Amino acid sequence: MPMADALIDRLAADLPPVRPRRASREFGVLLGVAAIEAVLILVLGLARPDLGPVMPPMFWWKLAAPAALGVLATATALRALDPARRTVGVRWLGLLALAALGVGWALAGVEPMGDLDPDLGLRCVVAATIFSVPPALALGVLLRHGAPSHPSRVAVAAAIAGGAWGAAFLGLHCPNDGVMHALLWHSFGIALPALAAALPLTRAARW
Amino acid sequence: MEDKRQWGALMAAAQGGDARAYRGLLGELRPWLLGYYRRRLPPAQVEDAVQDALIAIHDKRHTYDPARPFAAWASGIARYKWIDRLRSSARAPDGAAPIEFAVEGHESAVTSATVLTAMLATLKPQQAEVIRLVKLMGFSIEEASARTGQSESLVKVNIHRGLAKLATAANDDKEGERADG
Repeated sequence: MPMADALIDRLAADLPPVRPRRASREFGVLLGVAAIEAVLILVLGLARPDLGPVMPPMFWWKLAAPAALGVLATATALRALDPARRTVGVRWLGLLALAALGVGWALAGVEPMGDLDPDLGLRCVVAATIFSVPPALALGVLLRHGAPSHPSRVAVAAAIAGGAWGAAFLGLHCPNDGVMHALLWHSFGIALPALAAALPLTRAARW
Repeated sequence: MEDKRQWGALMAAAQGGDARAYRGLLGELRPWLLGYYRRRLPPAQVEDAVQDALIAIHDKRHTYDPARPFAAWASGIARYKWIDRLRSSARAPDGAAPIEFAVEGHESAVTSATVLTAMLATLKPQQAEVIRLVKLMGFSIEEASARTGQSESLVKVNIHRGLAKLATAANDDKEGERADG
């Protein structure tokens, strides 16, 4: 088959060295992006004014629950960028999100329920969306670089990761520690950016 | 013929820029890919699929981890490109060229027919029937409509949905074949 032989010759003729991808290295890049963003939030004065060493439990929930989801979703997406991987594991992310909501609801015993505060809530969703952009962009670049067996599922995991990172940074920014506010608006702060990012990330993941 | 255990070493060398090792690897992969796609695609699509897979292997060669089996990696790429073609078939206009399965080798033809029969059995009878008529036997939409009693629109819808379901089934097949390595 001369055409195939010509193709092989052409591919072999243009062969710059490549660095094998490592999911662990890419995970480090994502953590670096997250760390830089967190520092910028602090340096630019975007953090809540009462931020200090002793904070109420709901503050830590608003920070830790989405951060845990972000870490797991990021690892899930990056691990699945290998064409030899036949599974992605998106279901685990749903289970973790439910568990995090359960923990948050349990905090109703020690934290004021507060009110929904729609004005602040909407501002929180907008802020989370903005905060989710850098990690989502970084994930998009990494998805483009990979070769997933299931691009749409990987994109869902990456979209959840972007939304979760944004919501984790929102935890540094939002001053409302009411249970109702956190459970509703911070969950929206994950879900809405994730929905918005799912389609472009799916396109980025296809190859 | 080829020693698949060395493919990983050849790809690792290619990642370092060794063009000779890479040419040797692609030359050995080509017949393996031909066999892979002959069992899954009509003859007219096999060579294109092989070339697509070779280009994908080239573009994504940085995703191969030399510490892991090469065969599973190459098989994952070949499988992804196969599913891509199934999806394209599902999206293609209904008047697209009919699917004719391999007759070059008896074993290959039997394998293709067996796989195809098993896959069609997972569809609704109306879907399987029109896919057989239009995509395998070469009947037109009008002829398939006349033979089955389905309206022309329904024939098109059943072909589209049936092919989409086949693509999904192939995509979800976690037991999909890996390379022999």
